[in-house]
Amino acid sequence: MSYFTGLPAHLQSIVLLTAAALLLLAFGGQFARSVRKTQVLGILACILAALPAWHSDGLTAVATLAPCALALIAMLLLHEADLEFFEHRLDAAGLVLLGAAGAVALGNATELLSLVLGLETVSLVVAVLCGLARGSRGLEAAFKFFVLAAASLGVLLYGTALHVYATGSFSIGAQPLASLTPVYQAAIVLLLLGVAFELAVVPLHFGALSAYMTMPTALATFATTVGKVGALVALLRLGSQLDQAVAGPVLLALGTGSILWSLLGGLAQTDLRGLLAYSAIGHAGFLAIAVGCGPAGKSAALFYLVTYAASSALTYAGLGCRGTKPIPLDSLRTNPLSPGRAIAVVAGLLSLGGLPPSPGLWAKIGVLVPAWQHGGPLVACIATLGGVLGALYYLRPVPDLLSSLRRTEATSPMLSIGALLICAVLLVLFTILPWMSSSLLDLAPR
Amino acid sequence: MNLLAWAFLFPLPGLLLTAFGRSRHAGVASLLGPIAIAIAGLIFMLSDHTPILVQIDGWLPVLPDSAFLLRLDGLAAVMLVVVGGVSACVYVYSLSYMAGDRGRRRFFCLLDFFVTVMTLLVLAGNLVVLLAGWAGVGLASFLLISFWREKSHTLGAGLQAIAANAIGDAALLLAIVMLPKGSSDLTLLQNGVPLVSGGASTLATLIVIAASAKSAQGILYFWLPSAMAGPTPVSALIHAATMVAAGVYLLVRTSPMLALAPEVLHALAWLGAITALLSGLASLSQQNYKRGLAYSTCSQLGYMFAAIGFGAPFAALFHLVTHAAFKALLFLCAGAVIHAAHGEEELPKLAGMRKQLPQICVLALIGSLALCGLPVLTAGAFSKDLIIEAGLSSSTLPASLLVLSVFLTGLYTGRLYFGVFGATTGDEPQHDLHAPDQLMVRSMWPLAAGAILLGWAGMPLARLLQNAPKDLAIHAVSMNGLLIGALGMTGFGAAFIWQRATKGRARLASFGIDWVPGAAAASRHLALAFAALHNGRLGLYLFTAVLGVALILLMAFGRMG
Repeated sequence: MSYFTGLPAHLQSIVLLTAAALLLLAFGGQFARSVRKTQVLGILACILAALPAWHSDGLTAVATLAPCALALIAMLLLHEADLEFFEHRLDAAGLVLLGAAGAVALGNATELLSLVLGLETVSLVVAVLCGLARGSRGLEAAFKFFVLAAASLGVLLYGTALHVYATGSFSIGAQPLASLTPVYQAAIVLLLLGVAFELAVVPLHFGALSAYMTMPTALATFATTVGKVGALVALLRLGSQLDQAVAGPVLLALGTGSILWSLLGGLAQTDLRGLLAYSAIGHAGFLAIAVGCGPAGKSAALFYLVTYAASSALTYAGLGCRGTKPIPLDSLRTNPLSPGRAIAVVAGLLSLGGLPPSPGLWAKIGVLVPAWQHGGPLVACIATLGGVLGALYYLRPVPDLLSSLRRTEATSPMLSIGALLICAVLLVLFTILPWMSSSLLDLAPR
Repeated sequence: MNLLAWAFLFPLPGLLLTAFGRSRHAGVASLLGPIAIAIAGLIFMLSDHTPILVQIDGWLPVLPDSAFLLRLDGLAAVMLVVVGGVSACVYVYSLSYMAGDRGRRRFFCLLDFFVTVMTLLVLAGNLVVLLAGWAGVGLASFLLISFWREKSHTLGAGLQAIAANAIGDAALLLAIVMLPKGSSDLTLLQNGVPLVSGGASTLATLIVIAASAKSAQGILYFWLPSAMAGPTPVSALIHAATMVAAGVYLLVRTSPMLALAPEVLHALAWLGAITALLSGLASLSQQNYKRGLAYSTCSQLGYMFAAIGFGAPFAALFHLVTHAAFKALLFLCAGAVIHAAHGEEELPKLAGMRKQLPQICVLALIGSLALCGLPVLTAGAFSKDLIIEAGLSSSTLPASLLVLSVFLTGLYTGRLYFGVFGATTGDEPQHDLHAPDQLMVRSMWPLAAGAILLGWAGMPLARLLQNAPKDLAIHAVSMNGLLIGALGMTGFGAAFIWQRATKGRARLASFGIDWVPGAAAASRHLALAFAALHNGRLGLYLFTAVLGVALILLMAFGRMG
């Protein structure tokens, strides 16, 4: 016990999450025959895993608490996950916990092997969760995601090899020999690209797009966000050690490309799932830009991340009951959601679109300030236009969602309501008191 | 007194009561919000006019200026009275207009949301708070335009509004991110000018773009006529009196900074004058009653923009106030006519309403004469006279375009008025009219009173504003005013003759190039092309990823030298 408590906070969380995951995957069928029991076990594991990181510093706290919170939301919605076989919900629960452990490892990595291990765990979990979805589309998307993840792992490993060659160490931040500086810088770019896959930025986004579109809505928040949390914090850690003159432009280019792609692709969507998938790419772009701005963008990046996670979670929690089938935009009036869920989806979409009254607007402004100061006018203008024109696709389903508020008497299970309430309260707090999130995470610029 | 600066929260109790109350009269509770807002404005006006500031430091730490700042001063108080007053009339009107609508509760909730964010916009002390209100009114406008989703074109009309507003939002966002620490206070923007790349011109241009988008000026006019797809009370409140005037409000609020960029002011004068002229002409070609009025709104907002370009922000604000009264009145009259005709909006089918709707006929006449600028008797004459006087003393050419527009104003106003309340055309449907009830009619009388009397409020209004010219004089009768009024009335009379000659079918042929459908089609094709790349082919995905990685590596190596 004393050995366990002597571990760093994030390692304690990883151990707890992994143990709970293995317990569920290996012996789950023995003692958790119902979904409800699995959910309770999973929720307990998430809460216990979050506790050690409660008093950690800003980055460790985000890298540990955010994956635990996302896993908690996924657990609350697990009964709504539309999987090929009912029994797979138990497996899904184990995978969610394992994925959270991977994200914690990725976000807290101080050397390259942990980084690779964490990243690969998250990728595999997302691929398998996608493959568990009902129907053949999920399997196909899982395969594509897996292949593209393998390619990005190749890039990451190659970067790692170059890094070790140039510095003689796996430690992030190790200094290269003077004669090997170009090799070291190439390693940096490859490492960034490898981690950026998990962020799902252009041009590494196609696998994520397919996966997000076919994932059961109840698990989609976890899948779309947990990798971003780990990758973003990893990039922030890497960024503080790396040469900003090399890393900055790469991330800014990835970010602006993602925003443009997301805007154009999103405008063509006629399916709400597709719209949200493209939205995830655009948000990854904003995150990449914030990180690309160096230390000045750190606060903005973290604020953006927590806001995006809460908004995305609220949207997907609202859609949780919609399973894996497409959700055509013009079906929202004829096949309405219950009023509470519809309001949740509207609030989530407004926040994702950066529209008031929502914290998404504050988060976007927060990124645009360092983008202007450090990324230059072109990056800032593209990000600004991408941010505001995104409203054109985020708002398309909103009138239908609002006009159908009275037409259904469907009720939601208590756990789903719990998930919705957690996300809604977070969103309201971030809207009215945006400073709170910053103070909690100790992010205020000094 | 500090409570008054929080007036944007006043509609929230009404919103909650309307949303969750079980009353059969959904919307009645909402009425409290606008009344409270108007009273807040009036209380400030009756006080010693000391600005009230509310500042919460460190509210948004990711920004250089992280404060949440509210300011209630003379300008904000005037706007509060306008927003609260017009909203209250529109709410009462809507209680009758929306009585049979299934979405009535949602309608009033959305109106409450609009009033909340519009009031936040007015009370904003710095750019970030302003942006929240600014984008908020755009969102409310979209939701209300597309309120009747069962009508196929409403969503497209709402999205047009969002597209235009997005351009303005982008300009405002860029202004926020450009400004250095300590200068995002709306009254202190000029302090940040030396540190902004491009100086005052850049900042002023961004502000003008933002205002143009919100007030449908220049090439960004297109969304306002389309916005008429929404319910008519919405057109009266949002697309005539308040939201579209937000652009003018922003320009008035930031006029000390704009004054540092004379070239931008000159361009603004031209922008306003040309919009006033072309929108007037466009109104003459409209078959749809509400669209005719919408172009008239673009035209009158053009006068206000030109006034700011002439360096006369008070004249712009004065016209904003008078215009809010008479244009809201005209829209509500249009709503009553359309309501009576069971939703018919085409002019030839609405003819001959004078006998069936005598009270509406009188009210519409008051609004029309105020729009034309009938001297002494109507408010529009006072404010328009002030603008043209300022124009003739500073920029003669744009001012002469405005003078020409005065005639056009009379002509299009008369065409609409006599087209509806003139002789019958024989095209009108032969069914019973759904006469407006007394609630609807009574809600219009305060606006009619405003359309007549507000002209006399000019001097007290000027005393409220810190940057109004000290030597300002607003004449009830002046030679200029009489000539301009006569010109407007000549147009009005000419329209009467035109309508008689054409038996109620007076209409100019459509003109100009509508660039919006082409741009929309181009962006749709581009979007589809991008989306088509996500076609399920793993090979293409891998190729794109490898190509992208190679390009990024090349870029990085290029930078490494």
